[in-house]
Amino acid sequence: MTERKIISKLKRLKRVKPEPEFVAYTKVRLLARLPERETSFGWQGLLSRYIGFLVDGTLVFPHKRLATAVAFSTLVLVAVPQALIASERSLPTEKLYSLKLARERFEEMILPEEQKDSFALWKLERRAGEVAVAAESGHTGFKAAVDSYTEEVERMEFSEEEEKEMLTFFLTTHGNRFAKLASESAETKKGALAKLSAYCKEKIASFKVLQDEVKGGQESQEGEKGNREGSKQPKLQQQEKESNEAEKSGSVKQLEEVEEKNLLNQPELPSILQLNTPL
Amino acid sequence: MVKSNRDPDEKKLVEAAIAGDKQAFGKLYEKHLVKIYRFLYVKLRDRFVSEDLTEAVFIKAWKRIGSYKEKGRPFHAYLYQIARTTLVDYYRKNNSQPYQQPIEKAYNVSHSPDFTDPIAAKEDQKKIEEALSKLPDNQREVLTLLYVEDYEIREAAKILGKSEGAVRVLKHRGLGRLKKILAKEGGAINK
Repeated sequence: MTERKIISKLKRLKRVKPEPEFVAYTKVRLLARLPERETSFGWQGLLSRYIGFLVDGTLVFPHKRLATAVAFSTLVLVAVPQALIASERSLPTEKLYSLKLARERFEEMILPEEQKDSFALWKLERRAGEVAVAAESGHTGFKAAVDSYTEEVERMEFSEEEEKEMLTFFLTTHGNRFAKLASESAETKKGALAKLSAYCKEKIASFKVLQDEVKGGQESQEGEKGNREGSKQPKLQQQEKESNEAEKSGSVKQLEEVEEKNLLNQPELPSILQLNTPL
Repeated sequence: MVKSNRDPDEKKLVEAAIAGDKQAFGKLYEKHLVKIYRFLYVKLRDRFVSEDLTEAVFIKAWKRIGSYKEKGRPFHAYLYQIARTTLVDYYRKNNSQPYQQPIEKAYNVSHSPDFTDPIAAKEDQKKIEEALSKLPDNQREVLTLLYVEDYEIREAAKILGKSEGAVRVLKHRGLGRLKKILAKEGGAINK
């Protein structure tokens, strides 16, 4: 069979047609069944609506999916750093403020342990700055800023003496700053700022009391230790003398008696409370 | 035959359908229904399944028409593409070859003026159709588009998403294979 014959036989398949009833009936049924079409869907649709010229590929891109991916990536790359920068200036009760706190938490998480105390002081400085800005600009988040500041102070826990001194310094500076702001601010904020200034002073005073207690405690401990060693001295000297005499005389029985006596006369161990070093 | 959207009427109909005009889409349906039905039938060889799938193709086409962009690709190429994916879905769901219906039920023989003997015509068609069904999908699709739907190689290439060279190769291989199959069957089809 020639190729031409095969082709002519293939062409006879043109006679395959749907039934006319099917054509007519299906059209009616199809038109009735066609749902109202959605012109856009998901984030692709959203992008098409707002930056359609990019997504449609009419401007730069020949492929819609690629264009959408590029547009979305650009949006993420531009918007996220912009939002982070903008959040740095945000104050409590503003939408971007949570982003600012999230960034701080993240930074704190990745910091080495020895830098965390300095970071806490830096955060406290930021909270104080927020109070000052909110007070000066008449921001609605002033009260929330005050609360954030006090919360930050209450959260402070320092192990190093040097860091405690730094905190005292910061609180002194903040207290003075709040007192100055109170004198310049409107009546509505004056009271709150004065209270905040007083709060800083109270905190500093409480640190001093604590430090004095610590110093006092250390001194008294040292005194007790000295007394104990003083009273212990003659006893020990006497015990050593008795042992030497027993050794010299060579009497085993006498030596055992002296050892037993020494054991009974040993000073009491210090209590647990005495062993604990005060904070 | 409308070969591409360069036909201003079809272009307007497509634009109207994209804008949500169901009546415009109805006209596109009338224009392309037979071709899509035949394309499916040559593969399925079952009238009822072909009818169901034809309807499914047009429903899908309506739902997705918002994403259709011409860009040198005619509307019927878009429909053929949907028909091909619909066929794949159908086989995936049914996991078998469809029932092969007797040929006389599939043909509207009243539209065959060149055959004097309708019974001989049916037999003849049955054999060529069976031979065609034994071809690989891509060869059968190429032969159907070129010789049943009278598309040019360039157009068939666009519809199938292949190069013109690839379509030529598939055509050549398909015809060669068809020739062997028909010869093996004993020349009953020869006149």
